[in-house]
Amino acid sequence: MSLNAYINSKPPPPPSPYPQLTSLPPEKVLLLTVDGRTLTGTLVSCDQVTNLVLKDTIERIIRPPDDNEPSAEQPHGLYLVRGDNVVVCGLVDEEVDGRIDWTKVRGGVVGGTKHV
Amino acid sequence: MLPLGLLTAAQGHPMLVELKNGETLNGHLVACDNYMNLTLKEVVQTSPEGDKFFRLPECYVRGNNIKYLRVPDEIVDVVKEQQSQQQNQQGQRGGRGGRGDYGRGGRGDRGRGRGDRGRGRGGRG
Repeated sequence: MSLNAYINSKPPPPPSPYPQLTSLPPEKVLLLTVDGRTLTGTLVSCDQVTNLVLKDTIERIIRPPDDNEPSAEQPHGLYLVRGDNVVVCGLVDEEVDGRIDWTKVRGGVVGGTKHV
Repeated sequence: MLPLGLLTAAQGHPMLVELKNGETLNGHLVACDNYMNLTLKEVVQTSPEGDKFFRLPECYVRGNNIKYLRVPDEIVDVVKEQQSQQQNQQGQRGGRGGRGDYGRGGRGDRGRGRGDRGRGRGGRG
């Protein structure tokens, strides 16, 4: 490389402070919160303190078998969950998940994780 | 785009805030900071049971009391627009060695901060 080409070359871009977090493609996740709610959605963004941004969020309300009301899925749109409130966030296997009609699923109520 | 970046981009937009005690606040975001402290205007406060409603012209929320925020879907597009604008500006400024060493995040934040203050003053006037 000639000296001229070296001088005119652009400096490399500064490294991202969060390379792992910014370079990942959005993925479908399931999130369990401290108050026992289950949310699914596309994970758009997260930070050091586990604040999470979910797109096309759906809350799954699973009711026990003896409940008269059916289980439900409630869409919430764009959601920013504060890290304090996050218990678990996990990747969803979309193939398996897509085969399940969650409105027909019955199960015990997931309790909260706060015991004061 | 970090979660708090999304929040700053949501300034001036309506949102729902649920607090850890179960209360919800519906209002327009006026300002926020890196602790997630918020000021809202034209707020409807709902009790945890969802049976009592209060109208507040203005309110301040300490960030640690927040459980989650529901923001309008279009905010993602607002953030993307801001980011592309910032990148264009950086391109025009050219690669001045000294400045280029700062992380992209740092400079981006500063830019956004200035914008906020301007908008805040306008709202009160």
